[in-house]
Formats: sequence, C-alpha cells, structure tokens
Amino acid sequence: MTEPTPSEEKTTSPQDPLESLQQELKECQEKYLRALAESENARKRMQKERQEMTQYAIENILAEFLHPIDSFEKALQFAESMSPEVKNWAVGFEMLLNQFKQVLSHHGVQEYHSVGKPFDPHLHEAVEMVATTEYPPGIVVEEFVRGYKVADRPIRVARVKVAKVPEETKIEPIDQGNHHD
Amino acid sequence: MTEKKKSKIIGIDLGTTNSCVAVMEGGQAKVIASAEGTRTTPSVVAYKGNERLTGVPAKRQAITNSERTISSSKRFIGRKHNEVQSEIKTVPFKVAANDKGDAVFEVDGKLLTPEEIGAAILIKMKETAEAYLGEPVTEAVITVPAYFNDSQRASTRDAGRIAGLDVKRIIPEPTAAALAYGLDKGGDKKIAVFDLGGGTFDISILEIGEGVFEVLATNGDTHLGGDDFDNVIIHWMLDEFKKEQGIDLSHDKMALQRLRDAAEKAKIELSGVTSTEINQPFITMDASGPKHLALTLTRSKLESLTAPLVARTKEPCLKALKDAGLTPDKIDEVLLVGGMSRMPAVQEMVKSIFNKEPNKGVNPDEVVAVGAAIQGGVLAGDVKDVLLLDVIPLTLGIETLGGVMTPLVERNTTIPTQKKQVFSTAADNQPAVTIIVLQGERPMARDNREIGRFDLTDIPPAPRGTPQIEVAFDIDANGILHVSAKDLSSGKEQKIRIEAQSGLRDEEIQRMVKDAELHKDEDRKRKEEIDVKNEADALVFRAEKALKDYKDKIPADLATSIQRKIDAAHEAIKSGQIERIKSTRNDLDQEIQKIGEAMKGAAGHGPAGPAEAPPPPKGEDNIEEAEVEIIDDDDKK
Repeated sequence: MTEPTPSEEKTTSPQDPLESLQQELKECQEKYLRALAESENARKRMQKERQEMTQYAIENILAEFLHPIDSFEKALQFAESMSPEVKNWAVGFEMLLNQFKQVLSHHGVQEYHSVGKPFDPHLHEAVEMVATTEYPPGIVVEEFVRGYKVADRPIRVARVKVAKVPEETKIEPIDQGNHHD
Repeated sequence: MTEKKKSKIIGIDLGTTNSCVAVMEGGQAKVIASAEGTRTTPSVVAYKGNERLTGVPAKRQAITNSERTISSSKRFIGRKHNEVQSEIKTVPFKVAANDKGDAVFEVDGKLLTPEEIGAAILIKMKETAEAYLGEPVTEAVITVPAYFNDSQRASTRDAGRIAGLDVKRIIPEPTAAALAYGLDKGGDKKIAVFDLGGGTFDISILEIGEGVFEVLATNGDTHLGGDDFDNVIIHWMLDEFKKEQGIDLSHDKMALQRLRDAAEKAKIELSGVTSTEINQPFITMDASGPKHLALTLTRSKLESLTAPLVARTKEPCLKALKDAGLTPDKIDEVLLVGGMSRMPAVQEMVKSIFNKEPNKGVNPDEVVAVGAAIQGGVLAGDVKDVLLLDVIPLTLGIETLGGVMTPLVERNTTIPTQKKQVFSTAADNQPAVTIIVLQGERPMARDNREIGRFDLTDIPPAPRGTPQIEVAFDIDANGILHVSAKDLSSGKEQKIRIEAQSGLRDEEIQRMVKDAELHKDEDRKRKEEIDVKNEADALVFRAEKALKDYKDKIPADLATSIQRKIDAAHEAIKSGQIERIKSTRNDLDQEIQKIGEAMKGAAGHGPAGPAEAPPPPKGEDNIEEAEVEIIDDDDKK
C-alpha cells in the first residue's frame, strides 16, 4: 500500500519523494478518518443493538410463558362442558390465569382479539380456511392461539381460522351465468 | 469526509426456503436481524391486490392466498418451463411459460418472473442491512448453489439489479462456506461441503489453490430437508396418540399445528439432549373428557425414525466423490451447512462417509451469508485493512496492595490502545511507589509474569490515599508497551518501554490462560482474603484518624471502646485469620458509627446535620492500598 504502484511510477517518473510522501500522508489520513468514523458508527450501532437486545430478551422470556398460558386457556375452554362442580373449580383457575396475564400486562404485553377482524398477516398466521356464510370472506372466524403484542408490535401473532366463500354460493351465480368468477 | 466514505458490500444468502444477510464490521462478519427480530427471512413473496408482502408476513398468509404466494422461487430461476415440470407439481401456485419459454409465475393473470420474486426478497434483505447500518446499501455479493448454470447465475444477477443492487460477485454457496471457515488461507486443499437445509440437500466437492476455488463436483437431493424430519416426528406422534387414546388427530388442524411446533422443538432439543418430553395438555376431547398428549422421544428413537432420511444423503456424497475422481481420504476438510446438519445422526453419517470429523464452528444457518459478507469485505478492501490490527494475548496490569494484580488492559484488546488509571499511596508520607508491570490472567501478582518494574520517587509527604499517581499503559501498533507513572500534584513522571511483551509463544499463552481457568476458585478465595484484609486495614486507619481529629468531641468512654476495637482488629489482621478479621472489622465499623451520633448530640446543631462530622465511615470503602492505591477506578464501577 505504501509503495507506489508501477503505473504511478511511469506517470510521475522520476518519483518525487516529497510528492509520494504527501500522497502517503493523504492516504493515511483518509484511512484514519475512515477507521475513526467506522468505530464511532460501530459504537452507535452497538448501543442501539444493546437496547434492542434487552428489550428482545425480556420479550422472549415473556413469550415463552405464552405457551403454558395457551394450554391453560384451552383447559378452561374444555371445562365449559363439564359438571357444575368442575365449573366451580374452573372459575378459580380462570382467576389464576388472569393473575398470569396481569403479570404480562405489567410488562406491557397485551393480548389482542382477532375474531371478527379482517385477516392481517402482520397480526395473524392463517392455519386453516373455512367455508362459511357467517362471516364475510377474509375475516377471522376462530382463534387457535391468541396474539400478544407490546405497544403496536406483536411478540406472538395469533393463529387463526379465516373465512372463505362457501363453494355452493360461489357456484350458484356461475350457473345463472350472471357473474364472472 | 462523508462523501469519500465507501459504502459497505453486503453478503446475501438467497436460499430456497430462507435467506440471510451479513456485513463485515470491524473485521468480523455480522449477521443482521430483520425488523421481525429473526436472523433469517423466509424466501416467500405474496401478492394481495396492489400489496406485496415479503418474508414472515407472506408466509403467515400463505394458506389464505396460496395461488398468489410464491415460495421456493429459487427452484425456477433461470430455467425453462419444460425443465421444471416435476417442480411445478409440488407448488400450489401457477407456473407458466413466457414467450421465450422461461418458467414464470402467473398471478392474477399477470406474469411474474422468478427474477422479480428474487428481487423482492433481495430488497427485504437490503432494507434489513440498511436499517442496521443506518446508510444506503447499493452493493452486494449473492450466493447461488454450486450447480447453478450460467443462465441461473445471470438471472440471479438480474434479480439483484431489479432490487437496486450492484451485484459485485455471484459466488457458489460452498465457496462462501469455505470462506467463512477461513479455508482460503494456507495451502491447497480439497473440501467437501455438506449442506442439509430446510428443503434441499447439496453436497459439493471443492478444490482450493492459491486462494482460487474450483468446484470439482456437486450432487444432492432437491427435495430433502428439515421439513421431512419434522413430518416423520408428527406422524410418529399421531400414531402414538391413536394407539393410546384411539383418536385420530390428523384431521384436526389446530391439533396438527400444535404437533408441528412440538415436533420442531423436540427435533432441535434432541441435538443437545438424549431425551425430551412432548407435553400437549388438552389436545382434544371425547365423551369421556379431555385428552392429553404426553410422550417421551429419545434421541435413539428419533434416529431410528429418521434413519431412511439420513441414509438418503449417502448416495449423493459417494457420487460426488466419484465425479471428482477422489476417495474420502483425499478430502482435507468437511464443512457442515444448513440447520439439519446440527443433528448428531447427520454428523455421524458425514463422519462415516468422509472418515473425518466435520468442521462445525460457524452457525450452519448463517455460514453462507457470513462467507458472502467476507467476500464483500475483500472486494471493498475492508478485510485487508482490518487484518493489520492485532490484539494483546494476555492481560497487562500492575501489582497493588496485598500482592494483587490490578489489570489495566484486558486480554484480547485490539491495539494500538491506551489505558489510564489513578492510584495512590498506602502509607502516610510514603516517598515512593514501585510500579511492577505484570502480564497474565491470575488475580494474584505472584502467579503472573513480571515484565518490568520501576520506581516513582520524591513524592511530597502526604497522608496515605492523598497523592494522585496516574499510571498509563500505552501499547502501540507494534505491540510495544510504554508504562508511565506520574504524580499529578508535582508533575514528576517516570516511564519504561517494554518491547514485544516478552515474546511468549502461542502454547505459553494458552497455558497461562488455561492456568487461570484451572485456579479460578482458589484464586478467587485468595483475592477475597486480601480484599478483607485491605478493607480492615483501611477502616483501622480511618478510625485512628477520626479518634485523633475529633479528640475533643468524642466522649471518653466511646474513645476507649473504639480504641479497644481498633486493637482487636490490629491483632486479627496480624493473625491473618479471615473470619476473625471480618468480625473485628464489623465490630469496629459499628462502633465508629457512634462517633457521628455522639457528636450530633453534643454539638446541638439541630436538624441541619453534623456539619463537622467525621467522614462517613463507609465513604471510601474498598480502597486498595500498598505500593499503590486506587482512588479513581472507572472500570470497576
């Protein structure tokens, strides 16, 4: 790097030592400034990344708790068809579940409801389509797993079943020849 | 300055199922996480009306929009429609031929080229890099499978161009992996790269000579990957559940989804442990009540379940070797790429085929992107510059009170560097300090290597802890260490120059680092003892000073009792018994707290507080004293 390249030698022969030193100095300065800027930028990036990492670390741990909470909710859903005695227990367990959710909400983790809302890939993961007339197509009809978010950012998206147009109603207008599919 | 700054060349692994982006930073390739917080992005693009979705959101909506969701577009890039008949059957979207006979995708009656889809993914990777770097990115190195022909490579380059990237180079994935392992340095080698990813398996045999890579042979299975392994586990779970409960879950989408997650989790866990529990409570329900799925999957069970899949990697490897005209013993290095290569049974298979332990230091999901970034760094000239920087192999420090090694420059610090710290004296009117320069990782001075010493003399008389002596370590780019000590009040300075830091050989450095690890516990104990002693000593000193300074204000009986405690502490320190020192120190500590109270009562200043009270006893705790004493130590706070 410090030696003049052959092509340079040809153009400025005989090589003026002062000129080559000046050139070298210029290169060094350039390199120094670049290195300085790079380290400054790396420092800034690291700072930003560290903040994000702390945030992600907390969220990741909280997100792991969502799985048992899902099972808990699932269990309570089943209790609905059980005997009054079991139901009475379930009420208590529902309160327990809410205590868990309170802990999450203290840390800014909020559940969001998806049923009846338009399917949004930023908030939902589609697991199944179902033909129905109950909901317009593209609307979430059922939640398999509830979604949770921090502020506006989902930390775990909801898994949902999405409505589609039932086959019969789709075919009918075609039979009548009034519509193009 | 800013206009001269060169922008970075990013490295992109444009994969069949997932893509990954990395960039050189300070001589290291860094994989960049996307806005969703993941280090790889699904290679999926979806169209919905006028909207285009890329990556995770596209994947999430795939089932609702399967005809407009393009995945595995890499299988079609640069290929003719008539070449990809078998692929067409495996995808839910429409693949058509354009007027040139190229395979293109038909979405809502419009033709989209695989290049456009590739570009959408590349744009996403570019944006990920830009968000991280905080500056526009215009140049990239993109990887392709080694078997890609000219047409496929040209199309990949076009995809980059559509994405607004100047594609500096297209390199084969196995070459990138070899770069990530640094195999381009040091002689001619033959390398086998075993890449078992999410959906494809590739084996490549490379030859490297004088930094030039040549692909000797490739082979593989275009439809073998992690998803196949997951499916095997899911089927096993379904069978087991049916056996136990008599219920078939295979039509229950919700249950299947839970099993899919559980299968992937179990697979990943079994790479680290030999047995894992699969618990899915309330998976379903029948007339008799809720049903739970509770299974134990052992590694050996998983291995027997997936043995047919693992076996499918063998034939392509043998064929590739044969095509390269090589026998396994001619292969110098084997590299593992792709997430599935983490599975112990896969690694065993690789080992048995090539007869050697595969390399696995670099994350196999990221190794290709890392290699691409390194290539980018070489092209940008970053790598060459960075290689000039060196690190110090062992910690450098000085000896302080009680024979403690106080580090100033930690090992692995990049040089040139400078560190300063202010120390003080350990005794009243101490006229000189000896700076003993040490090298090593042990907390006690005598276990480290002394590489130099000098005295700083003529320190003006002052109570202990008062003088400020600044010790500076300056290591230049050649590794030469300059140590100076300066009395900040008088300006007197003394320094030495230590060449090449003793010229330790590699194995010596390794030994010293290992020693430190080995003696960690006893060292820590010894260090603690010294700390306790030093603390007690400092406390005694402060107590004596307080007794002297506030003689008139301290009630006689308190003064006597404090003096007794001081004597007890003195005795304890002399005895060297740690527990005794601790207890006498605590006694004394409590006793001298009473000075403040006594004075407050006596002075009658009221609520304004003891303006003339002695310094709070806890205030300057933890002061290290001796030859030198720390009074300003930013590192430790």
